[in-house]
Amino acid sequence: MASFGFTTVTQAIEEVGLHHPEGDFIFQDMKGEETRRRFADLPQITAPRCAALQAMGLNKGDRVGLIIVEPEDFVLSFFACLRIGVVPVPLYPPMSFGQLDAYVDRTATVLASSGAKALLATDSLQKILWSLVDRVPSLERIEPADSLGDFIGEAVYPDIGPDDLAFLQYTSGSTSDPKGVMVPHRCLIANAKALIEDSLKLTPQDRGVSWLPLYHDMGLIGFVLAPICHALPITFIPTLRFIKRPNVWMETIHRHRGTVTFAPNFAFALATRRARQSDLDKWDLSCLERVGCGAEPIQPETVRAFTETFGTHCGMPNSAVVPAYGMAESTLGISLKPHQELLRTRSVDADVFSATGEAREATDINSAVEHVSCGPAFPGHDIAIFNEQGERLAEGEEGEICLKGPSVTPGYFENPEATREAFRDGWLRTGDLGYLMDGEVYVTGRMKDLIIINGRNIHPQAVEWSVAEIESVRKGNVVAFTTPGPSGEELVVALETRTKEPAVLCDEVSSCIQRELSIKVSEVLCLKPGTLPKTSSGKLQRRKTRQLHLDGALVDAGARRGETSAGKDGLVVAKHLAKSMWSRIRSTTTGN
Amino acid sequence: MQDQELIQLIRNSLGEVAPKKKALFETITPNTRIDSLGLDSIAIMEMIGYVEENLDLVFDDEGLADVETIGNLMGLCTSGD
Repeated sequence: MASFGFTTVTQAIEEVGLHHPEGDFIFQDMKGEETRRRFADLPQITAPRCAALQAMGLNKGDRVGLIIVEPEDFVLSFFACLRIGVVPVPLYPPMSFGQLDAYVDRTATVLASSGAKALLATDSLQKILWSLVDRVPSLERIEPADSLGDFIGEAVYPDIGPDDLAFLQYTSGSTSDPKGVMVPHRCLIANAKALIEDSLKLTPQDRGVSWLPLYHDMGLIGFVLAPICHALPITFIPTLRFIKRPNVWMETIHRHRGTVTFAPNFAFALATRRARQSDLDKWDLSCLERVGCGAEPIQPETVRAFTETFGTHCGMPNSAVVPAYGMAESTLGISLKPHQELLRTRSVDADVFSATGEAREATDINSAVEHVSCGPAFPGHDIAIFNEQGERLAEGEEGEICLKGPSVTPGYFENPEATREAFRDGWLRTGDLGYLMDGEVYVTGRMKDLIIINGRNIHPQAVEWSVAEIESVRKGNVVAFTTPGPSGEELVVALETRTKEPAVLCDEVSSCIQRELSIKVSEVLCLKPGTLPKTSSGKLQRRKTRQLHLDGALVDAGARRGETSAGKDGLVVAKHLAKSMWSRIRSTTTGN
Repeated sequence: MQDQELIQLIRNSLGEVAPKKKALFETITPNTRIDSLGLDSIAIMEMIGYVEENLDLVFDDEGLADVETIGNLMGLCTSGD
């Protein structure tokens, strides 16, 4: 095991090359050309950037926004910040031209909340972002990130300790109240050790391959910061390159002998569907011992198909897929399936579970729901399940997942109220629902989204997944929620469709939910594409959808959006290009 | 490459990502709007990936940003010739 005893990521950046000079980060570009950066060279190649940042007047503790598209530029700029104690605030690049105003609003709010003094952005984004200087009181300047590496000057390196803030992770809290999770070095060091050493059992002889976006915790911590602390070499594929050519993922793993990679559930389906027989015959994936699956609810069928395809044809071990659970508030990870164990799922009696929250083994296969184990809590961390009254629940009983341990954030940046709400008796409240069984955590949903009808707890995903199977429903664009009715809560399903016969579709949806879940739907809303509200990271917003519906604004919104999308904002492929990279990644939770 | 070949390539690429909609794709013309095909974002980018792969080129982001119709996409395919 490679424990170098680093106490800060800064120390790791500066010293990892002394232990493993030939370890490297390899950056692929859109055409597949690769640039190699050796660990031994990191201090030298980040030095000009450190000096450039200090020349801008940035000092230890100052915050700086990062909106950088190119992975290499992003990583080197981020490292430079950490070396001089400047606190980076990673932000995602604009998603589409049509929604630019909303993007700039959101970015301004986050920058203001973080009190950022400067913003480093990719050259081509400057013309979109320039107005931020006037809108964010603390913001003094926007600098092109591309040329920082050419700066001539000497930096002064301050002392950085384990309790110093490394960076701020903004979660997709509401626009009016953005929440910046504080990530001190000691949390990163603790989470990196738990992830890389204790759970995944990785050494400097392993290699990671990642196409995940770097402003997202799974890509940034999982494949940049944790690896640098443990001398794990990584190959980076641009996110968009993977989306366009999903086969480059496995091809790169095959060529670089990758032993670890991570992705959200959707990518497993994409990779399986797109793999050609000629590629499968060629690839040797026997090296690929760990394929983490997180950031989205994990669908066992998808994971099994993936294992079948790449196991049978390419020799990937059948224990490779690693269900993962985590969230920004716990730095990144909370629990993972133990290395080399097989995927564990439980078939649970669906009726009993939704009525009582008790995850009892199913006796009838026809009324069973399958739950995926995300393994035990990381060593040194504790998971417990509590009910709403704050009472600790027994194994097999569903409640709120709560966490204690060295990876847990000290709180939200300059937001004591949100911090107070996030903790109870020293436990971090994840807001996720789940249960423990044999010490392993099963994540079953998000608390605030739970649908309660006639005393029955129904997970909105159960409704949404059933409805998503219907042909004319736009994939991934279904939201289920409840509204108060004359005799209790009633189920409403809002979906996007292009069908010419909404009445027929409504009937189909009602009978589908009746058949699959035995619930009566009180209302089905067929909306035009683009109507359902989404978070900045592209997640559907159930609560906002519900509010819009209660306000009677949902259908109106659809009509307005429909007009503009045919008009001047119709940069169709631009939208898809951006959305495809960002929309599927949940930005707060790295598990179910 | 002739326009007819190009549109056939786009049809085939669409068919690869959404085989169930092959009948719809047979009807596309240069005037067809890409957002009228009922594909999600990932599928659109996959389709573009297929086209790139077959023509052995990579479109730049700025070029893609202006594409709204099948005809725009065809224009992009031939602009580098």
